[in-house]
Amino acid sequence: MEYQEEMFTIVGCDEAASEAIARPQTTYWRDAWRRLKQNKVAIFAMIMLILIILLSLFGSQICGYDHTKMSMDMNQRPSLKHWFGTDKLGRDLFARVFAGGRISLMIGILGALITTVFGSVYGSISAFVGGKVDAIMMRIVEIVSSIPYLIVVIMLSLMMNDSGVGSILLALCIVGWCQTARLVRGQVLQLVNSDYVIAARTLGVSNWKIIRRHMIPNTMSVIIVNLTFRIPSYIFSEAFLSFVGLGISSPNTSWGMLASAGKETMLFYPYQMFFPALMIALTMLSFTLFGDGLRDALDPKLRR
Amino acid sequence: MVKYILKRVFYMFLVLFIVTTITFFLMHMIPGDPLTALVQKLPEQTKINYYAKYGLDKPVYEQYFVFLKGIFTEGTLGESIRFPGRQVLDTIQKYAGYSSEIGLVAVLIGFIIGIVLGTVSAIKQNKLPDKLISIIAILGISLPVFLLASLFQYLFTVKWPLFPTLGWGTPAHKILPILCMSFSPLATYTRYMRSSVLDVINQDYITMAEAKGMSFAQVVRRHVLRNSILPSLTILGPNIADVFTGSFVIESIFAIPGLGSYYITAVNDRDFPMIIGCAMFYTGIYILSLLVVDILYVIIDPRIRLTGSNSK
Amino acid sequence: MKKVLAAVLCLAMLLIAGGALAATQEITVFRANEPTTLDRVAATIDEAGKFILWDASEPLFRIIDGATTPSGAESYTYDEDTLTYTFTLRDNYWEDGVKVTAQDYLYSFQRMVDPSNAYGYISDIYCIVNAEEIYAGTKDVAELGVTAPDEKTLVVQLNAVTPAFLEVVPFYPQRQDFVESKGDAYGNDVANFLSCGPFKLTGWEHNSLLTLEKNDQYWDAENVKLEKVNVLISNDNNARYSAMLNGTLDYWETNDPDYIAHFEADDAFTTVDQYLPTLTFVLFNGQDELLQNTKIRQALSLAINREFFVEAMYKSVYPAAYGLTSSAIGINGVALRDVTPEPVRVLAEENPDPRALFIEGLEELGLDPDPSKITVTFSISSSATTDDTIALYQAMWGETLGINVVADVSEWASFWTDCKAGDFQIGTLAWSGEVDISFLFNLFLTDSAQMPCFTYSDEFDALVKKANQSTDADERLALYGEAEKIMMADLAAIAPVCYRVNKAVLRSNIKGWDYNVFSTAGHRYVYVED
Repeated sequence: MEYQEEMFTIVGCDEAASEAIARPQTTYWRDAWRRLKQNKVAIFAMIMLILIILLSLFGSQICGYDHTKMSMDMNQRPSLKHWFGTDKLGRDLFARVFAGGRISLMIGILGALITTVFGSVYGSISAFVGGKVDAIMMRIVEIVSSIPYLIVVIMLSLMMNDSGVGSILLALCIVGWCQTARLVRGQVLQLVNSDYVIAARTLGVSNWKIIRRHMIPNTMSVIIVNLTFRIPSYIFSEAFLSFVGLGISSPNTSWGMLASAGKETMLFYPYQMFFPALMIALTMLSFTLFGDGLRDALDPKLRR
Repeated sequence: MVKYILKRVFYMFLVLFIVTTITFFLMHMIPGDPLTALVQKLPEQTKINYYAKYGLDKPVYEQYFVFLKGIFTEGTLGESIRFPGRQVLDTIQKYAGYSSEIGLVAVLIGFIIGIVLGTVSAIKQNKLPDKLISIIAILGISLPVFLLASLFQYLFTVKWPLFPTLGWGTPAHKILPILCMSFSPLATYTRYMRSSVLDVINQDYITMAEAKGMSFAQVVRRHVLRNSILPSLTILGPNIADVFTGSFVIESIFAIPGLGSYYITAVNDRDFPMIIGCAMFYTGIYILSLLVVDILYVIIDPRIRLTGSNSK
Repeated sequence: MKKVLAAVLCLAMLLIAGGALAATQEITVFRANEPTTLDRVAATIDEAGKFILWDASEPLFRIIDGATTPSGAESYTYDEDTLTYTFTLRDNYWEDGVKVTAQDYLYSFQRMVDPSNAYGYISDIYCIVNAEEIYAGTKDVAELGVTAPDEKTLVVQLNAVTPAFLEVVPFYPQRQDFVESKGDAYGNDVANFLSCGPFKLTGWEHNSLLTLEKNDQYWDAENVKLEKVNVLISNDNNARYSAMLNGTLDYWETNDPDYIAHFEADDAFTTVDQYLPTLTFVLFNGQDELLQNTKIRQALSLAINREFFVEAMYKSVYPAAYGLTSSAIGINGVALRDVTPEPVRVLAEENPDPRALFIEGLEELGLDPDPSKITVTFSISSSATTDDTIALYQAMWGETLGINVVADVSEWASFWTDCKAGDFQIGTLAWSGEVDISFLFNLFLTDSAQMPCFTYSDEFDALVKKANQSTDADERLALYGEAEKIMMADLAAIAPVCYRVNKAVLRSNIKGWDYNVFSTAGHRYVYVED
């Protein structure tokens, strides 16, 4: 077809229209949440985690046994009567595994969160401020990491009279934050001399805002991986703490303690070791997958 | 750079001094001494003679000065109390060597394979290789090392007798311990590397490099690896330091004469000279590893200044 | 003629078939811990060290098959009036060919009583004239009641009648020139130790393996058939089990019913029960405001369902204990248990209702007679069975008496330090007796109280001291039996729970093994059959 000049009219340039925002306005965090919701794997992981938490809260009711009740059915293999089998004193293992889950999840998650928050803040300040402050803060990290841990926890067990969850968390976190601090410091060191940070500083943006808006989102991935590693580490460390008397003792139990008890009879009753280890692995799996999804959601470079 | 290193060495001695002092006093504050830990039935006179022999009847600060004097005037860390006649320094040197033989290999295997797997995992994000590798990593970190060790020991020395069950002396004795000890580092480095590579791979300069015509392999080698290896290095330092004080669990299960069992037994038996000796040794190596990591930071990533941010 | 020939042939066949020695005479055994030292008179000599010394050294006497047998000594005489022993030594040689002399035995005694050496088990030789004073620094070592008039004679003078003298005192030789040349390092390594026993120490990889090889200089070398003994240091049950299965280890002791069942069913192994002289018990702090009352302690003791406990914890491999001494402890082969019924059984018959007894105790103390208001703290040192043990005591005392039990777990050194300082309420531990029956009883004596139960009795002291000095075995057993009743039942100073029984598992082609729990024979008579 042939185009004639009369067919077209000049509309002009609508300045206002070119400034129109094509998508609804959203902040970094809201966008992240939206992307997370769309990630099927992450949602699956979250559901698995919620399921584990629910089982931990209601496990005893579901299977009908109390986790402290002893019976003469000792060391029974898994069956319809006892879904996970029984332990040396005839206690139902299903009830015990999920009673243990309450403690382990609480210690693992709380401990990991506390350590990560404190360590991240510490590490970012150290790298961001730099100079003498960095030197002193890192020397403190070195000192805390070098004192023999066993002595520290024996000392703590003397000072704390009741061994509740609080003292366990203290014993775990007192040294655990060091690794997080150093990781975050490493990341921040990479970022602190980037152009956009220098630009932000030149513009007069407050340090705290820079840390919040630029440093932390860009170190998120390392922080998340570190967090997911802390959780099983603390679950096992708690069993180590029972050695000095700081851990959980009867009638309470935890996955770490069940795994240590299971180790003794591993060659004859492998299921006593298998189920606590499985729960720890599943918890770790859900946190890892969720963490990956979270990481993708929070990655500024993936924003579209 | 040289000035920086000298400064860090000075700090090292400072921290070493502080840690030794704190450990010394903490050690004497917890209940128990080498005698109570070992002998159940104890005549009063034995306690008197024993404390006199080891200077344990003096006040703690006086014992501390005796200890320091020993280091500076004779260069000795003293003699173990539980194992009479064994020099702390000689014991540490010899057995740290054994521990590190298996530990270093395990960490290096974990590091190298972990870096590779992590990179592959990130490049093939959310595809099958990524999922498989993630599962391996999760198993590696959530299976406790005591479980792996006893299981492998039974499987590979009894069920399929391929290796010696316990002991030390031949390379065959080292294989199972190394295998057990490499799972955890493998998982760790895989995950950290994956996360860092993902961060880097979506950066603009990578797209730019590819647009310029570099092959993907070249891009990975030249840009991706350098920029993403930092968190893994941060963890590698202390991992290597830990290797020298050994893994108590692995050494007990495989009857390996390493420093791990000496260290833990020393605390349980309140063997004061041995505890301090091991603490000092570990501190020294740990701080050295941190120094090396910090220097590597600067070499690998030119954006990092040795003294951190300098825009003030 | 044919009959004679047949008989001779049969005999010949028996001689050849039975007892043929294997080509390699080598065995591997284990110890749970690394020996602290091989210096027998060091302050911190431990059980592992003593074990190695049975093979690498030659004591004057050994306990072989339960009997005290002269070994380094050829014979001895005892003078009742002067309380003096005179030992005549055999001709024995150190591994470097030098003769073992009475001087060597004397030298080790002199080191034992040296105050600067701080020997831990010094009270074993307080029976020797002036030993205690020299150790306390008030007399000179030259005044010790041990002398060596010539190379082959050792004379020891006692200050009191000591029935178990030959069993209790460590008569191990140490050569002065060698020990002095090594100084502090003596006994810490192969190069710093000199052997004179059936075997010599040839290898020591600390925390891993010790190697002992036949000592050709030994006086009885021709009767020692083993060429090599390996001692593995391993403290992990799974590791030891795996090692037994694949032939790395030849001997094991275990109390686990699953392992035991496996080995009993397997012909490749011989299994023997070993009744240990060990008592697991509950310790009461007699100074505590609740436990100072006898009825409270008795009620707590009776409320322990011992049969349930051993079935749950040990599948009844361990027998329940109602007394202080197990069947292993006695005099000259007669166990105290053969002569006296266990006191706590009698106590149980007299008091069928522990809860009522407990309430009586509460009323005597002027406390609220409602047991559910009482909470006791149960101290225990951490081990693999700690958690289960706590659960069981919580169940037993909770159900029978209605009280609350809170656990206090700590590692051994803290736990024991607290116990000895009286810083606990109720605790639990185990204690092993010795071949000398008086050992366990002496722990409760008021003036040398080693057992931190803080409950004392003059009557008990009098009975035990009389029994220690008597030489009539029947009289002694009767006296100890009465004393046991006072401590275990009348006062309930401690509550016995169970005795220990191990299953010794040995590869069935290994013979000559001495299973006696007090044996100090070492591996001298062991050999490997084809």
